[in-house]
Amino acid sequence: MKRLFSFLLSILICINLTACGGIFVAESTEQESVITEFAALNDIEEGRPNIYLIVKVVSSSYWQSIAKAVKSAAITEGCNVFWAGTDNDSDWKGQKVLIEEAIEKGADAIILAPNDSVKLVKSIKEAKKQDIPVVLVDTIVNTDKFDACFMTENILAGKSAAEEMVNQLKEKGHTEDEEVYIGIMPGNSSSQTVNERLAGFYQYWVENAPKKWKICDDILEWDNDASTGAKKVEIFLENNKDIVGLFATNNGPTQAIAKAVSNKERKDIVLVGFDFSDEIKSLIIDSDYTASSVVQRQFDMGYKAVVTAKDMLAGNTPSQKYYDTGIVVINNSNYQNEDIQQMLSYY
Amino acid sequence: MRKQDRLFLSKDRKTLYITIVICFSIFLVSFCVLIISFNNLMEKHDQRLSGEICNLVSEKINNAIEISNETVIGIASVISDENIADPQDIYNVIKDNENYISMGFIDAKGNVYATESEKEEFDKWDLIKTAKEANPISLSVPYRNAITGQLVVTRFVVVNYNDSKKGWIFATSPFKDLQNVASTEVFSKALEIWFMDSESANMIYCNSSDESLNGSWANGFLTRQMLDENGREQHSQWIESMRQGKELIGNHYEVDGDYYASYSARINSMPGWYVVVRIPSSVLSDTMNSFRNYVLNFLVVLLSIVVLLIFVILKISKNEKQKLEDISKHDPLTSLLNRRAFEDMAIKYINTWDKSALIFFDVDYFKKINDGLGHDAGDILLEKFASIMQRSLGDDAKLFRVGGDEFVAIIKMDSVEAVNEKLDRAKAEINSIILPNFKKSDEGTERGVTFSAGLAIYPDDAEDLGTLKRCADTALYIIKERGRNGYCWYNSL
Repeated sequence: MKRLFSFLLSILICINLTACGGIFVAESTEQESVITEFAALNDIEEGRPNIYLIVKVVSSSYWQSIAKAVKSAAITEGCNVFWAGTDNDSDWKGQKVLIEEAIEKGADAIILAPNDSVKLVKSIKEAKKQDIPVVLVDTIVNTDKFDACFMTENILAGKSAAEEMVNQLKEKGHTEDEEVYIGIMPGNSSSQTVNERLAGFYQYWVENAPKKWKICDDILEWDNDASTGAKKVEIFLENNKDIVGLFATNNGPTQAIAKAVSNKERKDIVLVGFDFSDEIKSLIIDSDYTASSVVQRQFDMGYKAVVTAKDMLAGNTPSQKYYDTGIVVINNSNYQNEDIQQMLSYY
Repeated sequence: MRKQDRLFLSKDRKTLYITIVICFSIFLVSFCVLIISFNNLMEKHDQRLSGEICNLVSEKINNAIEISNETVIGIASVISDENIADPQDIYNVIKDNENYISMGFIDAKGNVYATESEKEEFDKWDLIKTAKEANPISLSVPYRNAITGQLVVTRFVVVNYNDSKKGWIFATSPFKDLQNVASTEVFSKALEIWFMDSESANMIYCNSSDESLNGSWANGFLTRQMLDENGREQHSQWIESMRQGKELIGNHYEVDGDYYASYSARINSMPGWYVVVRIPSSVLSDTMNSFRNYVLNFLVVLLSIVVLLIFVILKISKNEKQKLEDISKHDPLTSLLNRRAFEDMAIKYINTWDKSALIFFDVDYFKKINDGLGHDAGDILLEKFASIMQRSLGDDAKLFRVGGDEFVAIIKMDSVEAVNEKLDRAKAEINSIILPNFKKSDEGTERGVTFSAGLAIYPDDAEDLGTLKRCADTALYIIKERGRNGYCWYNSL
């Protein structure tokens, strides 16, 4: 009898627990913050304004080239620049600590490439409370409490990529009556940059591409690793014989599509990507291939940020807050141009 | 008869158990049916309600856009009525309007009267093209404004100037104004609102569960990747309906088991653009789930209390039954088991050991003792007798009082000698009880108490209880014949 009742009671308790619903403890996915110490970027001299540069990923060549631009401007403008950053572009907590540190060290101005457009707003406001000019580079934040922002207008960059694709396909001899397909390989689809480039690309495409030219429904998934990504592209090309063009939204996927096209020697395919990796460079140089890349002017971002910060310290207010530093589309026909070569030298 | 009673009792208990199990099973099934029905009801209710919420919110945003449009149309109407000749004068009148980030004018030739940075934006975003779509108003796609660094939308309204020349005034306002209209207190974290271009499937978030997405771009073709075959088909139909220009489109679909309701309402001043409102029905379900859980918890607690009460009542009833059973099977004077207990348990005890002996005792001349010394003395003697006998026979024996001075014992039969030894010990002790003022016969002087016992061995003398009892009874009779105060084995006869 006791056993029967114990059994019934345990069932009731189980039902009760089930009815209450489970409580799930979400596992934290945030990575541990790894930040660098502020280091002098140029020769430090007493009496000059101290500008603190906080970048996204210190080890990335992209951010190193921005640091190079900042250094160059600092020498010209006569500023001391200290720089630091994180080891991944989602570490906003690390950047929060760096902003606090910069304020504490008596920064006269801060140049920030924010890792999060919402979570760093409070820190930016704190810096502004201390009357420290805050100039953003590369990424904007969801507040107007910054002084200026130098970045690429990614929607326009995406449109330029689509325009290049249409032009190159026409150059390749595809007619408006021909039914052709292009494939798209986006990077991290949660990145605002990638989404804006895609939005720009789609917008231009529906407005300007011949109606029979279509974007393949099957959107290529990106693997982060160029070799694995290239394998996916190869399979994609195998399964979609009518693909005549490939578009990639940022550096990694661009490396992957370039690798795949090079491996398979698909000289019939038009490639349009972003940034300037060795993979896309080798195809741009080779006139047998049709490859183009949209390259940002990150040197301008870094340089103009220092000039603006210095200007503000002199008591001037920027005439506008948002500056599109623009892009350059590099392909085989303009690669050798002097201005392009000069721009690439900053890479 | 008593065996039948026990059998009946056992059956009764079994029936009780089965009834409890059946009732409990019925409860469990009903409980499950209740949960399933509740969930189904909630699901249908939430799906209907989430659709209605989406519909209302999309209407609300569209109305807000229309109201904002009306304001600019009103300004344009005033300017048209003024019939100003010089475009620069029109610009001078409107440029400092504090309600907008900026206002300006486009003349019939397409010359823009605005600040230099705004003129750059006209080129960058091809805003003249949007202006020419005005009928009487058009709205630009959201873009980032150079002056504020924030997302903005620009409205263009046709005006007539200088005797029926066609121009446009434009007014730029923050995209946030639309986001603020879109945000709601109740479902702020769950309600997703975006503007979507039906042609490119580009969408810009007004309100999202992820705050960082607000004001950011996405593309419908990418989100379609997350859907299954059926979902993709539905998605394509949805996009196609928008491309056909339908005013209001409802759509329901599932992503990873989550049910979503979405409504798309055409924005008349943005050709091809829709305001899309989406809500997972789970948001409503979460609220209802809490209510359902309260009800279910209450039922479960109630049932637990009922089960506990039944358990306690049955426990009390069992204890009382046990007490009654004890009373009915024990002799109140000696505390020994009585005749009823003997009848019920004799077989069980006899079979406890391989070999056992059944002993019938009685106190010699007990009637005389009772008559001579009184019942109280008789009772005392019986108590003493039972106590001595119990002690002498030891743990391997079970003693019953089956009548006035009649006792029965069932004892483990190690050997005849061992039993004899125990009986001799008892005999000696009982003989030592001297009853004052009592003589067994008028002539005699003997005053010590004596007893007689007849023994039969199971299974040697008999294999069934009835015969065994008769054998022991015969042995008792014989010893009484032989003058009492002793014992006699049936097998020695």
